[in-house]
Amino acid sequence: MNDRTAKNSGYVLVISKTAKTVACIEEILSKERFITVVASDTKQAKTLLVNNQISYIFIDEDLVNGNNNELISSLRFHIGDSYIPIVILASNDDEELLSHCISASCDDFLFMPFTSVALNTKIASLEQLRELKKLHKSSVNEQLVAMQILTSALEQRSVRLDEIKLLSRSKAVFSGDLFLTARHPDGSLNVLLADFTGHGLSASIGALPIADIFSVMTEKGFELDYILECINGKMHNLLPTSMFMACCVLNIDKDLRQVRAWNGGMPDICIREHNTGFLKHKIKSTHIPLGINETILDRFEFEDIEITPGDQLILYTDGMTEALNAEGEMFGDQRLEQCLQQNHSKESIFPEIVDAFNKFCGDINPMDDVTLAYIPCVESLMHVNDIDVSKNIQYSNSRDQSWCWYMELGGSSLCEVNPVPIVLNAIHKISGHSACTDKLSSIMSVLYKNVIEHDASSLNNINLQDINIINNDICNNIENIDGIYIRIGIRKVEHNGCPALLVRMEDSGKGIDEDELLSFINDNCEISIDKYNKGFPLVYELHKLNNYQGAGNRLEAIICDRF
Amino acid sequence: MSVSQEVSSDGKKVHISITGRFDYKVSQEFRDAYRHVPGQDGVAYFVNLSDASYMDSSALGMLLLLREHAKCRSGTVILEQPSKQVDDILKVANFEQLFTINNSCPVSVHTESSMSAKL
Repeated sequence: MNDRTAKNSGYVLVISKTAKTVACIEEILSKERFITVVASDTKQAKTLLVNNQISYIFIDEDLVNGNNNELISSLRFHIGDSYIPIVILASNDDEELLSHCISASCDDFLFMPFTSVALNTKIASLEQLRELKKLHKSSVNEQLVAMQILTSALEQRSVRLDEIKLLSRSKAVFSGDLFLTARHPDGSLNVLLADFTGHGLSASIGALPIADIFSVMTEKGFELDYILECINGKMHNLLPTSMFMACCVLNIDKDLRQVRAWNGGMPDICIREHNTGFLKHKIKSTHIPLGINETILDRFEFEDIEITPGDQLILYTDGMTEALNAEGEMFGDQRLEQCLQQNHSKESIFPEIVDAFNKFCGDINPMDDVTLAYIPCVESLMHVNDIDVSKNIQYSNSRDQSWCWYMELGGSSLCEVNPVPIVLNAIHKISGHSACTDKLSSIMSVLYKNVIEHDASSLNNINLQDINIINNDICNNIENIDGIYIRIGIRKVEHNGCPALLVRMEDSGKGIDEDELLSFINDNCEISIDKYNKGFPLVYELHKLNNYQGAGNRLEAIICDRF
Repeated sequence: MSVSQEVSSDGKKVHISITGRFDYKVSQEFRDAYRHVPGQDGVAYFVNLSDASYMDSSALGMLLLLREHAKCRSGTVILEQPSKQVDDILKVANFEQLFTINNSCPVSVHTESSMSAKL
């Protein structure tokens, strides 16, 4: 044995009964400052392996002859996850022996007799492999940590709903599939399923910004088309030309009567009757995926589908239908549909689909990320758990707990800011309740029109619901925006003994004459409404107009529902 | 060879044919098929997909790269005779909104010159 006090390169375990072989290895490796330890049987080898930090193991072929690989498997057991290569010292190229050793998880061979160059080269090549393995291990560890962070970040951004069942399998550590849910202030549920090009880390890098946009914009009351526009813009800027995001989004209304859907590059979304298994509708892809073209706002067309409470929505990525079995066949749309329709007696179809999919694939790993989402449109899906919505809400449940909120927009902010989501968000955050988007949208549209009333002729045909168009029109129609403003105040009040919201708005427009307005209301649309504000009858119908003040540029309305 | 390429004698038409699986494994070959063509404007790139058995999202991405390449050079991209499997994938992605897809017989290739090349 060499001097063990000198700085050494590591220990080499030689398992051999031939003194000549041991001496040869020891002589060559001692020059490289390796310390050689020798065992002649399995028991000795195990003891030396456990008690020393072994870097390499050399085994004489005489000890691994035949089918007896007890020695190798015993060593492997003790080595565990560490990288300690096992090299067989072979005296001839007996193919059967070589094949047997490799299948028994040996790493390499060295043919005897060998020169010092041959042995040192073998060590050098195994050392390179060690570096690669180390790199791979640290990379996988990093990915696992990053994946945990990403998963937890995505979970925080989604509404957790026990009713929704999800099958999610990724090809690599990271998945390029993304499933999100978010609650709209009007109580409806937004769902997104996306599939980024490729898989692995590069495919999942876009998940976080998309989850942020989707959850924040939904919670603030933005409608789906603006959310999609924003996601598309983000993807267009973030992803290289060759990457995009196939995506489908759904809005399930609070009463479970309608689904609004958009599908850009995803497989059909199935709507299934829960009691018959009948596939009543398929929402097909009608748009290109997101992130390819810069803007597609004018092409966001939604499909509105009537549903019945109890209907089930089945969404999946193409990784599911393109998964192969051992014979190289794809799972396919037909098998999935058969599965959906055949199990008509089953209330929840999810376990049946997963079972059929698993049986089909057997041991074959999917070539792409696989996601299957099952959403039953049941009442509990719409039950808003206040703790989920926000942890920071101050509830105004008691009549004494009043609150008010105020915002003023002036000058260019009138063009740039859409006040509807801000107001809805404020009401939601403060009261814990959601206000009706349509009603607030309408009343604010009226005010916006009033601000620019002196040039209302060009706006007669605009859609009252569309604040953003009005925003743009303000910019387009008013050259000098100095001095124009809109003020919005919200106060929690009591109306006819019930809690309600008083919405007060004031603007810099010329306003509407009170007498004519009242007369107009009394005559119920007999006055020429173009002279005033086209939207007013609608607002009056929607809200209980409480008071009408000032020079016709102030307006108060009470919103009673749900407060 | 899963990607082959032919250039017309005037260099204005580049025909690229895909055989077998059109996926991430052929991305380099596919890129070489149009990048190594002598640069000139107004080239029409024909991608024949009649023998392509499958197409993944990376392949759709490759077509987008070709589209950008052509766009920068005032060129066009025409997808020709997609097989049933490939056509289904193009339809789901609604790529007919981005590309001209020609389902009839491809335009004959002018291979009389020596510019024909196989990758």
